[in-house]
Amino acid sequence: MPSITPVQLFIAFFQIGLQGFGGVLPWARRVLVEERQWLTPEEFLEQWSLCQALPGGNITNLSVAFGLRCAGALGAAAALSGLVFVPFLVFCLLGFLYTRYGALSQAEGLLRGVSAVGAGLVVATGLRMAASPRMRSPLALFALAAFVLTGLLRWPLLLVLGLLVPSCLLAVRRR
Amino acid sequence: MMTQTAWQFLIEFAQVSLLAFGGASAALPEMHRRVVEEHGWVNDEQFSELFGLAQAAPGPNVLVASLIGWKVAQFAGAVAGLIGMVGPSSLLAYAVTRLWDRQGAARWREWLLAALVPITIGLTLSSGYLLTRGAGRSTGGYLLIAVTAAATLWTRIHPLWSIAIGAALGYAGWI
Repeated sequence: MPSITPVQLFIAFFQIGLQGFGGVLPWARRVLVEERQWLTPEEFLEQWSLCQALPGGNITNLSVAFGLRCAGALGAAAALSGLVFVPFLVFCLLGFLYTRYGALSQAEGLLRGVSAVGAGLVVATGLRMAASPRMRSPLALFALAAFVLTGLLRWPLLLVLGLLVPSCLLAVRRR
Repeated sequence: MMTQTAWQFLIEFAQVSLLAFGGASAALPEMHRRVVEEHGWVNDEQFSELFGLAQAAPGPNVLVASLIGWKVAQFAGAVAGLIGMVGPSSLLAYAVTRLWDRQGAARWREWLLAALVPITIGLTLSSGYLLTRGAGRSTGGYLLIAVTAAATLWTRIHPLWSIAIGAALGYAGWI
């Protein structure tokens, strides 16, 4: 891991948070691998897959793991706070505007459009993931079960994960 | 000053944070269950609108917690959303990264990831379903969701363009 100061980490992740419209992953890769060359593509992929296996935002996890490896606890805190700094302020502003003007009729139409597109984007993400080659028949059953239990039956996630994660681990191991 | 609602919000999201395998989209059914169904802090429509707004903003999607937080308890709620949603998962990422580097358990990680992928896919599909339920309140709404999903799957249109088009259509009163 290169030696990078907490200040450099803050600035790099500040930049990632600022640019991350519509998904932060491509920006994180661009800043860390291409611009700064702090990580090779393989190292980036490895860090990313670890962060995906953990709960929480992948990119927030990445900032913590990468910051920690480069500059210890202070580095982790610097990278994470750089990442969320601007987006948090933007979200506060949006929250303020929504609470104040969200019920106005023009704003309501606009929000209807935005929320329909938002739903469409998530539907597309789900379908694209479902089409991945990792989803061979026995594993697809776990995806279906997760969909039915959380979406249609509205079971608590803890219960669903408690049932599905151990059984899916066994299914993966047996193959 | 943290209000009682903001504290409650923080506690709810601190739990969601640790269950959020697969990031914000996969944790959405659980957020919906707690925020809409258990506490009634926002309704179905508002939930989809806030998520749509969050996708239009820069930065990590997990910050949708701050946006919902603002709607529920203004600035204190936004802070509660940030700390609740990002804090626990970041501490976990910190601890796991330290252990990981000590032991180098690459095979174990591969195994866990293979098991979590199908479940994450099911959860994301479930999020798409719930958002569609909240956002598609008219024929125009359902049509826009379907067209967005199709365009995202089969063209390389940038999500921000989709959101801008959706906002314009909604503003014009077509959705």
